[in-house]
Amino acid sequence: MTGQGKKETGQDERSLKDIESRLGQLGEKLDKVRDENSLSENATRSIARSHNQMGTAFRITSELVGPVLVSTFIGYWLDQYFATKPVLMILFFVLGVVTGFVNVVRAAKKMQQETIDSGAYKEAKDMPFDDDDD
Amino acid sequence: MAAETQIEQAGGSGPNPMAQFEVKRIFDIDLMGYDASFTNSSLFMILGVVLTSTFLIFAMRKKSMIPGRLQSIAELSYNFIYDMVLSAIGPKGIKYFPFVFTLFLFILAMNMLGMFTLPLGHLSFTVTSHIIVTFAIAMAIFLGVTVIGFKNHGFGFLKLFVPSGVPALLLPLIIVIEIISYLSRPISLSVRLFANMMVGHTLLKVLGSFVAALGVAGIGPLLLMIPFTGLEILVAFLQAFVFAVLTCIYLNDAINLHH
Repeated sequence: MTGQGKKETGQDERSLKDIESRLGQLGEKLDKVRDENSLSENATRSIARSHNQMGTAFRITSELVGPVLVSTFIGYWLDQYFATKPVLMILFFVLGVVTGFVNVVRAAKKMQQETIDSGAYKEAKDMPFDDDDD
Repeated sequence: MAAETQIEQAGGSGPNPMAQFEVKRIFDIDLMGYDASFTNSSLFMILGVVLTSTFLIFAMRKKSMIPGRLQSIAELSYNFIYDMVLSAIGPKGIKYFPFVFTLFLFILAMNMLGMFTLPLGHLSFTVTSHIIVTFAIAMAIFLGVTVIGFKNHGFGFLKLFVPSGVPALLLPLIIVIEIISYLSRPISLSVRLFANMMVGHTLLKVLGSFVAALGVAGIGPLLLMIPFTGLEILVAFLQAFVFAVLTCIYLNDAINLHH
């Protein structure tokens, strides 16, 4: 009985040590996985951001062209209504181009504001870029 | 029919890259003198609705605490759009979330089905490559947003066309510009989606016909097709996303009315 008890405690000690070493290993593995995960999280975030930027690019191109088409058509239609061919169509074509540019400038301003708000701009600004302290 | 033969003549002898955009009748339906036939376009719309609905219902049937693969895809897409609605419109916009989510999934399914339906052969079709479909969706959004705007703000909604901080001299010009900009929304929304889908599919088809025509040397265009197919899938996703984002931005104008 006692012998058996001794044996059991011995086993316990051994298994305890075993468990401890395994715990240590697991901890290391976990840290590794966590590091990798945080890396991939950053990567996915940057991918999402680049998707968003590509989406903005698509948006801006069509916002430049859309108003020109619509406005020219409005001018054409008004010309037919008032029988003033082609004065209004030309006028509205120019207005459409102006609108397109206004749209693009607005979208760009909004993007810039978003970048400043998100802190990415500050991050880039704070980067050690020039070494002369002025 | 005349236009069809014209295209075929212009295309010469090879396979016609525009043939994939033909609407084909599966069976005829005559609705009080209107041609309401069931076409491959209708088939793919129904297929898209059925696929997305069954996917979501099937993926969420267990609602387990630790999501499986399907469930996490469903939850990811839900969260993705939910966050977007919340950041673009704010808490007031949450009641329009189901609409935006449905819209996003529908357009995504339409775009993706056009990329992945080879087994259906000649019936394969991308619904969003037809401007009438995208224009109908865009027009519905445009009218809906206008109605929501007038419902929320009454005639105060017209303040959308009068930005603050503009000198009185410039105001007439700015108002005209704002109105043109507002009216051009459905056009730019629909043309963007339709043009992107159609251009990409035509390009893939043309490259594909090069592969067939060049024989062994066709490996060149075949290699070129691989990145373009990837790009097409990215564009298909991105266009659905942009459509949803712009819907949110327009809804934001109608709900919060700050310019």
